[in-house]
Amino acid sequence: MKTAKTPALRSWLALVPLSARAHRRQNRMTLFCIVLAVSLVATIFAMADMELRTQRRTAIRTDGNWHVATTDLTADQAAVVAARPDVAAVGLYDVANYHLDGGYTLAGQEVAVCGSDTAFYTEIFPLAILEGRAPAAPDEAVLTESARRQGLGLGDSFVLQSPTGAHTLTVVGFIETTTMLSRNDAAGVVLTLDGFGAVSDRHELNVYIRFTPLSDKQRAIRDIQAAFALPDGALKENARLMTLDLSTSNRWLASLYGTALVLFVLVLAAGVLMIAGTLNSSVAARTAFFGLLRCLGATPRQVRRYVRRESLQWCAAAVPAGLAVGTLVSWGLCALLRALAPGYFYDMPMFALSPIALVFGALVGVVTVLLAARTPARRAGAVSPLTAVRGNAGGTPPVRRGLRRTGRRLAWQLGVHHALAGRRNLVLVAGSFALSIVLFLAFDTALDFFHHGWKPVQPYAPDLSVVSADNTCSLDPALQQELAGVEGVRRVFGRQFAYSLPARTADGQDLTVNLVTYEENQFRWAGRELLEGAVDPAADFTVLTVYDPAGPAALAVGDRLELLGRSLTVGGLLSSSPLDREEGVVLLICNEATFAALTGETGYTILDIQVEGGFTDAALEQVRTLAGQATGGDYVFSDRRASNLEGRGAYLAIGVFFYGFEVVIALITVLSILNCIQMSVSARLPQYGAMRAVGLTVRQLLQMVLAESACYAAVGCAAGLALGLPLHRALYLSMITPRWGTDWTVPWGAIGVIVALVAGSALLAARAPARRLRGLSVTATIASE
Amino acid sequence: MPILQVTDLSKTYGTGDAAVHALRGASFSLEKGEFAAVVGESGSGKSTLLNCIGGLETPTAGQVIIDGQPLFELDEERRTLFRRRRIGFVFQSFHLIAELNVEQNILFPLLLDGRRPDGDELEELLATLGLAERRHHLPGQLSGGQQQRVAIGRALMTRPALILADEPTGNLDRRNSREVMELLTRASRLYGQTVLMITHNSELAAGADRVLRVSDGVLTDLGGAEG
Repeated sequence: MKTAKTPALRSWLALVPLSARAHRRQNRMTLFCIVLAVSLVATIFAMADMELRTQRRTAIRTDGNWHVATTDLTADQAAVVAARPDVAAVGLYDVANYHLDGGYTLAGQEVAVCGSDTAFYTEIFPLAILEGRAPAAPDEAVLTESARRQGLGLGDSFVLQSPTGAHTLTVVGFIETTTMLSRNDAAGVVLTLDGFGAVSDRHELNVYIRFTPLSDKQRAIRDIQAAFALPDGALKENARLMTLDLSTSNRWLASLYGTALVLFVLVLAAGVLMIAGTLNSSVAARTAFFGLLRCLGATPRQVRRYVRRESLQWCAAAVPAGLAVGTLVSWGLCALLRALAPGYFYDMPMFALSPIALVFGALVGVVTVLLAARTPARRAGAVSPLTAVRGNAGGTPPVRRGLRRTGRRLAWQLGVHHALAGRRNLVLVAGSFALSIVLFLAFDTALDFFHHGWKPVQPYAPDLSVVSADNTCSLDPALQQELAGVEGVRRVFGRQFAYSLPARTADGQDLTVNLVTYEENQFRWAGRELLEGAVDPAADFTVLTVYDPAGPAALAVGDRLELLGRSLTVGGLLSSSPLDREEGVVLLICNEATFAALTGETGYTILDIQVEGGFTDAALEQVRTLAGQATGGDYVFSDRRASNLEGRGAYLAIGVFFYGFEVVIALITVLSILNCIQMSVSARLPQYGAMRAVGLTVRQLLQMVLAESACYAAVGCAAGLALGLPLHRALYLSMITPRWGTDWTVPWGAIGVIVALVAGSALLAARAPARRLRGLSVTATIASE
Repeated sequence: MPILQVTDLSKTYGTGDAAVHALRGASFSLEKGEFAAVVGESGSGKSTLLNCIGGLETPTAGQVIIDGQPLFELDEERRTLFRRRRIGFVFQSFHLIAELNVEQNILFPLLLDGRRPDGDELEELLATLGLAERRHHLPGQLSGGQQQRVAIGRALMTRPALILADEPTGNLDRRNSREVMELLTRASRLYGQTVLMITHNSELAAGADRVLRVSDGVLTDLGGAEG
């Protein structure tokens, strides 16, 4: 050992870092626990922050970076507004021929024309210029990519026909074609305000205003309205951005941060339990030391201060480490989300720092440690100086109650007795298990909610759809067979629709009904959503209805109603269907024979197609050709493969997030029980040695430790289920049942997973002490005081 | 005035049939600079006597007055402070703080009090203890005898009125035992400190000014040690 000159102690508390250096190995567990708690909170808040930023970026990209807009200000008035200290930017914009029927054309093609000032396309709606630059002169124009079909390139001149005449303009740049223009197969022309003024016969200047980040936006809106005598409602808010900038109360935003806050509190509680466990363990292993301090004249207050200073010292190392880990994990999750669902998470920041995550992470680190250190500090301060004098310091804990009776399985009995006798430990460990189970069950409900509502992962989700152009039953039934014959098509199923049919119930209530058909596949899938009654594809004049608490009629199984002169019976109630609910309209589902009997129609309104993995572009083209031939080109085609894939990816990502979180909570619990068992074994080492000396085998000793571990786990599991199941039920009844009508049932699957995890934790917790006990000699065990 | 006055000190553990009378009405006093040895068989109550005098245990009855201060009229906090400043402990198992070197262990009670050590005093003490060369060594690098000397140094550093030594030579060999006894005696003579020492060793007891015997909780003053 080195004998280097150590600096003189200036204060007795300088013992803290010296002791920490000497006991690095023992302190590793405590440091790890703090790092874990801090990184968990940092990750949660970082992800909430990244989601918020993603939403903001998406909002700006799709809707523009503005807070309010009005058509009631002139350009001069807009300049006055721009001069306000709480206004970051004002952009001016005007548009003509938005509906592509106003006589603005480019080589015969209808074009939308807009004019804006520089501020609009640099600050409000940044132009994503793909080639060239923004217009600067009245005769310069930027075109959408769709205009290239006219053979135009940079520097080319073209003539824009407008109600005011023909105008020659020069192409100075190209931008992306918007979705709307794409859908209408049209192009767009972007001019300066002066250029627009020359070509357009109507002028309604749109003034877009963006406020500074920390300004009181509502107050600014009121000021501007008053200053320019604008009527109420003249200043239209960009609700999405206002919400994201915390300027409007919004339930979604409140719920997002509320969720993060609830998770923060739960993690804080779990962290306190976990860290308290390790600190208790650390104090219990050092009663001799604390007794010595007391013997030498340290007051209980000084000893408590020592423990608290020690805990804070661990924070100094562990908190930065936890924040770093949390940041790295959040970066990894962002990258994972973008990889799995690039469409949904296109705007998710990569490698961004979240100040709120750093602050809350650090806060949780310090607060949990201070809270967790309270009891261990009190215990350390209460250590009697006699523990140093008597030499049994850190030895066997005092026994208040003996074993009632002894049986053949004495080792198991003793293990259970040890667990139940140590109330504090029992509460700590069982509490940790219970919290973990409660969280697991709560997340289970959330995942169930998500699964119910996320359509891309449902079995009926189509990859391709051929839809009647006028939403009638115009698709030839033969098309279904033709499409099914295309290579790579797994399944084709159709639906027939009849809208807004009058119906009357048996008790005289008039209803408006949408009638839809299912075929065998859809009836089979519907069986999974059945709440009451039966799904019978062969039953004619029998309908299924969908649970809709806000609907016009609460139809029950067995109810009869009259539709199109025929009597129908409600045969079943479903929790959901792939079809959107329409307000004031009841959805009835029947088989095709019933539909034909009622309406006389045999054609389909929509044909959904599900394809295999290797579906080729050639096959896709073949599908389009067949559809075109069958309908004479009068159909709408929808390709949802990419969005389905992204939807599944997003579902997977969110599942990974939820279950990842639960794994961490489970890890916290395992650490708690590990600490507890280790502490218990350390405290009883001399006792174990004495037992070994009088004949207890190693196997029996291990049984004792395992029994203690299993007892903690069982009590925790029971407490967790006792608390968690009612919570699960309450959440289910409030989140899922009202929306989909599904009744709560005991989540046996989740319980099975919980029990398996708990049993695994108990085994794992007993492993390390077992290894230690196996290797110790009897005399060394007895002498280990 | 005696430095230590013990009057009718009794300590009983438990109640009723399970009551154990560890001390029964012990009374004696020690003058300043006196060196007294407490002898007795195992379980006789010697350690209980020492613990009560040191304020580590509260007696069932009786009084302990140290340097004119009735010990048990002080609350726990003030009693601890009193123990820190006026009583020095030397244990059989040394009980040094493993992370602190020799110098730091000796200074520890002073630091608990927030006091700055006097450099000259420390040097003198280290020299007296024969530990000047080992001042930066950790306890794990010292022999048993050296560790006990550090413990004695720690007890002496605050210039306490009373030093309580519980079997200070119990874990030492003959040579080291003799050295430790010499140190304790020198402290008693040189610094005028009163020493009350528990020992099983009759040879060591013989070196004390007075011998007190505890038997079955009853203290008997055997007077001055025979030559």
